[in-house]
Amino acid sequence: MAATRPGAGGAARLAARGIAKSFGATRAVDAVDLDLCAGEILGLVGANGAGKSTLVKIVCGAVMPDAGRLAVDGREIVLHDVADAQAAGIAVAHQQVAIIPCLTGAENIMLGREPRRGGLIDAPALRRAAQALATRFGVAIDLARECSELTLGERKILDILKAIVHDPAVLILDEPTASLSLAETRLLFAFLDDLKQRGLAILFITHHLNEVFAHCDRVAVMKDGGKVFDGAVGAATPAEIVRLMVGRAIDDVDWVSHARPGEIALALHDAEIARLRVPALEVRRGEVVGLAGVLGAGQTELLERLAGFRHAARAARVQLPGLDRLPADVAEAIGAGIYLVADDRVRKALFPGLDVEENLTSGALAQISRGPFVRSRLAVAEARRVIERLRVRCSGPRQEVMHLSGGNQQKVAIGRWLLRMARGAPDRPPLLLLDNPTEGVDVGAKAEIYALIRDFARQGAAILIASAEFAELIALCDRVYCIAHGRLASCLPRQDLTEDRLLLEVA
Amino acid sequence: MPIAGAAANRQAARARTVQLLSRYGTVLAAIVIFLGFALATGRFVSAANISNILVQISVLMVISSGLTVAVASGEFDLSVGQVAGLAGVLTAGLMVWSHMPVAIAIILPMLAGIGLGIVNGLMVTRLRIPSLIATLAMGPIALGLNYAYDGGDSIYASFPDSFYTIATGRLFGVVPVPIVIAAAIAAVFYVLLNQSRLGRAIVATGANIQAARLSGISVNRCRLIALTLSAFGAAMGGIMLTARLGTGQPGAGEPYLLDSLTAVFLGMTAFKPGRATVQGTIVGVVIIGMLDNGLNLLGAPFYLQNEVRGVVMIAAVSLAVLRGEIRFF
Repeated sequence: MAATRPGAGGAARLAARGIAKSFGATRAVDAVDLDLCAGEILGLVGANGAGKSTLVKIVCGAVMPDAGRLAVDGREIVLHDVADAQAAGIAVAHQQVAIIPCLTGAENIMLGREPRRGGLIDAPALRRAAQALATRFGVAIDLARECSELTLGERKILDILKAIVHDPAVLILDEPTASLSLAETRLLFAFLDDLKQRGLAILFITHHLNEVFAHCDRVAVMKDGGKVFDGAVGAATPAEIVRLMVGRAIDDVDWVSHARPGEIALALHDAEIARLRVPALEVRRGEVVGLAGVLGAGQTELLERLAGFRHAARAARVQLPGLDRLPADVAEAIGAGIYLVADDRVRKALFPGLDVEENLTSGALAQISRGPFVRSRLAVAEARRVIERLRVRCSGPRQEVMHLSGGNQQKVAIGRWLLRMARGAPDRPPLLLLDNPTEGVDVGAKAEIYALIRDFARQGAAILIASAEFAELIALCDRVYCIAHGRLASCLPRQDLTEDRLLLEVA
Repeated sequence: MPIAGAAANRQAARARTVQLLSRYGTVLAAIVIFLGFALATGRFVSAANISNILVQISVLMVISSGLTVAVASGEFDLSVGQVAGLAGVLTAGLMVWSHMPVAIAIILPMLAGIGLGIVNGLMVTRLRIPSLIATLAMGPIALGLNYAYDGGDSIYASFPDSFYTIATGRLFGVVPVPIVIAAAIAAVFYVLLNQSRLGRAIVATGANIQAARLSGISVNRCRLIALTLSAFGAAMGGIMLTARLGTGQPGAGEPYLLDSLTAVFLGMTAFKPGRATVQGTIVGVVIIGMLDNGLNLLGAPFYLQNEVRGVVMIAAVSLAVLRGEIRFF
């Protein structure tokens, strides 16, 4: 599996040489060469923190590299900001769709470059220009309609159309399918194939290996800031790519099931939570159960509802620790021993600006207080205990939480519930709900968090874990439920868990 | 290796310096202002003048302490000036027109302030109006109530002697009573924010309302209580103001909105950068008080005080925003 030189399309439209970037002591991108040729789609894959996003930010001008050269169509370029990159012929469609719902498709495409006459917007000219672009790329969406009436997939296509108004040489797509259904994804790929035929060089960043193998011409794999593979998709199997991404075969020698048959901690039957249908979901004590699905498939809402957050929900039969219905609010869920470690920790699980101790005790204010007053010394002592137990690397309980690394922040997010359990929880073992628990966490901290999760299971906790990283589910879970087409469907037992299988099931 | 070690040491030392500066820069500024005025005019450092400054800032201290709690919970309270004005006029009217005992004439306006604070809180939590807008609207409503009560006129009359105690009295014959009240209020709010369960929940709500909700904290209760305490502080300040002025003036509270906001924002650059803290607000209030008094002593033209207020407000906020300590919206 030698790294081969690309030969798929024509001449290299984008050439990157020796790109390097460090943040403090971390080498985010380490001497990476990358070529992007006319008429090809290059899939860029890698685990979280492998350096993909930094590399993309460098190529689109958002981050200045420490070293390295970039050239478009053989002309060397220096990018100081995003506008430079655009002028040089590099277009980016970000993961978040930048389409404004209350404007029409035409208005969105021409946003910021509206044709004007006498100082005012020339509406007919604007419509003509937008329509000409759409026709040229074979897009059949009605541009006169307000974008709020369009599907997500159609908005994504308009977003890409907007990015290529300038007639760029290179198009960068950052996880374009993240929130799309299968049908919408197909529509998108038909469009991309069309763009490719017209000589555009496309860089495609994704977490979905099946998309890489179905639609890309070439694949580049990044790991720990370096490029570890670059070759035609036919030159490697998905399993090989995964091994390259992770750097080792998933190690499961010490995996033992702690499931206690019969002791059901969570049962949900014939339920619908937000937009996700749940025919049946069961988790036993000591069991680690996974939820596999593409991002935004409804797993977050399911976990949040179980934790007492108010999403629209109905269920025919519910069994939770100490409850026979969905919890009325978060406080009730916590009181019953149901703890959620939310995804997107900066937005939902941590208190920026507050210190480590204040973060750790935030879920147990009543437990560390006497009457209306917080027992400060007890709070610090409890925080220290959690810091030691989870090996949170910080200068002490008074360090501000946002100054910690991602992995240590995540340990604090989990540690909040550890502290709560230590200071008075119900007698029964808890139900832990983990949403993407190692997002943006480095490999070392990841292993520690995995060990912690297994330890919880060994002590009888029931654990339900949603992850966009399937390798993670394979490493941790007894069973995995797959979400497909808005429905919590097949449940795969451990022996059937492979990355390929999961990718297939979550279509 | 030794070279690298030395470099790392230097770097760590520099980081410590930066941290110290960011924590105590505002305190340093206060000291510089103090020394500057002391050198410029000998009268500034006299015991009489310092006592005078402290008395002058006591009303602002009380109002700003309440506002600090609101800002700590993540909410603004732009009605503090008018609520103070309303309470001040009410207390005068109750004594002069209704001949109520001093104690009742003080307690009723406080309750009125608390009531308006609760309305602010309900608008924010139940009607889901951003506090910036809800309390902005509460300002003219309070002013309207004020005019309705006194017909738009000031209440000139002599109050019972015991009422003047809160402005001119001296505890043990030495410490001016307004300073004692301001210190007591600041202390109560300090303990609330730092050592009470409710305070922790309020601060957590202000730091990240989403995470607070997912931690089982009742965020709406926190926001309601914080806005109520803010209005309580404003009412208290308004009553003290009436005692100091000797009259109930409908417009007397208004200037305290900008001053108290400036004090809180200045405070957010000190001690725990980015957080509204009572200790920080004290520094802010002291800076404002010294600037007012010092410029007066120097005989600066009256309009300069306004200019300085605005500039200090912008300086405080831009410092904090530039260092990424405060984010607006």
